[in-house]
Amino acid sequence: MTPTFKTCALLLGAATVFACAWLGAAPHALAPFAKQPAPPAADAPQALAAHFASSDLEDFVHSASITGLPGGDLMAAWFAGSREGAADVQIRAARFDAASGRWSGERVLATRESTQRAVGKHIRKLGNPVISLAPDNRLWLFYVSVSLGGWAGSAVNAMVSDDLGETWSAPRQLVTSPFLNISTLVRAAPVFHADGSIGLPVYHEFLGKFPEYLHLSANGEVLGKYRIGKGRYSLQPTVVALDERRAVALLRYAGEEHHRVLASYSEDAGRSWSRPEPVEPSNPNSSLAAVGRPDGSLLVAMNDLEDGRFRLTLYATDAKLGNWRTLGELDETPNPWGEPIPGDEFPAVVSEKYRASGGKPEQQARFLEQVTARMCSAEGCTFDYEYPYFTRDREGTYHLVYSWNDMFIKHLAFNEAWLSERRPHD
Amino acid sequence: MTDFWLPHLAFALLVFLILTRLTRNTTQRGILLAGSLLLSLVPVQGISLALQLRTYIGDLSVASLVLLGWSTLSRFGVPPASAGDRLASLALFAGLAVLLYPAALGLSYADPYQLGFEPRPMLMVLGLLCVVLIVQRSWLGALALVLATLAFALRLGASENYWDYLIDPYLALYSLGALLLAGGRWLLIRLSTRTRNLA
Repeated sequence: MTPTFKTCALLLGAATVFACAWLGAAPHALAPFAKQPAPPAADAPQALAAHFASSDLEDFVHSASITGLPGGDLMAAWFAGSREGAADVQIRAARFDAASGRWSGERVLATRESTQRAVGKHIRKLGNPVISLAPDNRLWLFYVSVSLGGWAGSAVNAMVSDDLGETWSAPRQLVTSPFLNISTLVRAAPVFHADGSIGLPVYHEFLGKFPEYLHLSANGEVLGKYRIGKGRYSLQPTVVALDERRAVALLRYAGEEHHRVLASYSEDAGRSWSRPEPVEPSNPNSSLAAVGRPDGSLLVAMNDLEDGRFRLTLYATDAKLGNWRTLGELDETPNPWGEPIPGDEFPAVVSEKYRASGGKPEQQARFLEQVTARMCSAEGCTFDYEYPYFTRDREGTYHLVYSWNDMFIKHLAFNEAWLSERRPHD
Repeated sequence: MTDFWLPHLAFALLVFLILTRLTRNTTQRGILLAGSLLLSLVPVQGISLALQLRTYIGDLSVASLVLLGWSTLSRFGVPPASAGDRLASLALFAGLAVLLYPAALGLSYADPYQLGFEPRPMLMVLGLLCVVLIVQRSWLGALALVLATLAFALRLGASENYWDYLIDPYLALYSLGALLLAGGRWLLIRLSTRTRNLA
């Protein structure tokens, strides 16, 4: 074989390989956002219901998410264990039966061991889960796992159920970062596109802190990742589609300058995002949740504080985020400044809140013992209402879940009629 | 193991290359390579040793595996890459590392990692670079590019992103470090030559 012939053969071989890769790498356009469910009937009576979605009294529970299921049922998922970041943390779920109006007992969806077996890596701990029903009625669960280091070493795993949560696929780890596939975390609800693809708001925490929009196919393959912000000061985007092409992302602020919620806009279905800018409400570096309303405005649940998480407030705002109005406090500490209350006052206050939240009377004594151990110290007792997560089901009812003193996942359900009775004030 | 054969291959090649100095002949090296592969399968705390290592070092790129594979084959008599070939490969991967990592870690709004999900422009540029490497007979760099591209076309790894087949942080550090050393050495030689000429 002459050297020239050999070179030509090698060039031909290389050209074939690159041509095959070229053919299999067609660029994909982001489809428009899927249309939102039709508005609910205008004459529905106002309704507000409060429940605890979790029932275990022993474990620390945190970072809940919720999704509507066909027929008005719901499914919520959260993480639970002896403490945040512990090796025994599991991803748990419960199902709300619309007919009985009750949440089921808890069920484990993923553990450190089950994740380790499936993804082929040692897993140190599990974190934030996000559960969401896709338009094709496949139920998705995305959750964070850490193999090495702290939360900055996170990766996102995906599980899917074709029978509305009865059975689940084995978890699969999504490859989303070029640096050892670390530092992609999930927290807020996905947004679906008209072609069935999934827009998953994620964020990065290694060296910097910035939000991104992960685009997945309807089967969960990673199609793209688009940056919402950069730098070290914003995370946990909650994304709301405003129409077929426009969306807004509200961001948790982790810096030292603004102490306000940040907002970024997309005009091209999530491919590019405007530079995040502070908007009116305060943000004490805590997670927030937003959901779209049929009239194009937004509902936002957040700790509108400069420090602490002792009050969770519901806001309404227009899509341009120029007119924020509070619709009331969803949960708050008796002390308006969030200072600890004396230990002798705590049992009566927290028991009343427990009953108002749908807590079971037969569990109250054990609850009191546990919540006192967790929330009280020599300085007094505190309250924490944090990590809200919003969804609107196909019937138009809003569902909000959040961590209630790290003891329970609280679920609030309300409709447009209830919202219209609230007295907004600026 | 079949789902994770690339991490097992990486483990076997790394162990072989670390321990190969202890061997004296090709037979011993063959035994060491087979032993390294078997060692990769040994379960520890529920997963194999290879997957334990993967926990800490992540997935190596196909380009890294090509470099490790070539280095392994050279212990069995295959001629090692020439100095020029090695330099061209290092320059290629150092260039890719500089393009990718700083921006991908959040230094800019533009994220070059996204290019790897829609890699036609990258395939065009790297295809042309591959032609240059083949014409210059830089086989190591050309082979790394071709096999990384083939593995991406067949989606042999867990990633949907072309970058993950081309480069990893270890290859980036190694290429940049080796290039800096080569540059420093070249500078020293030039300086000493000039000093000698002046004297």
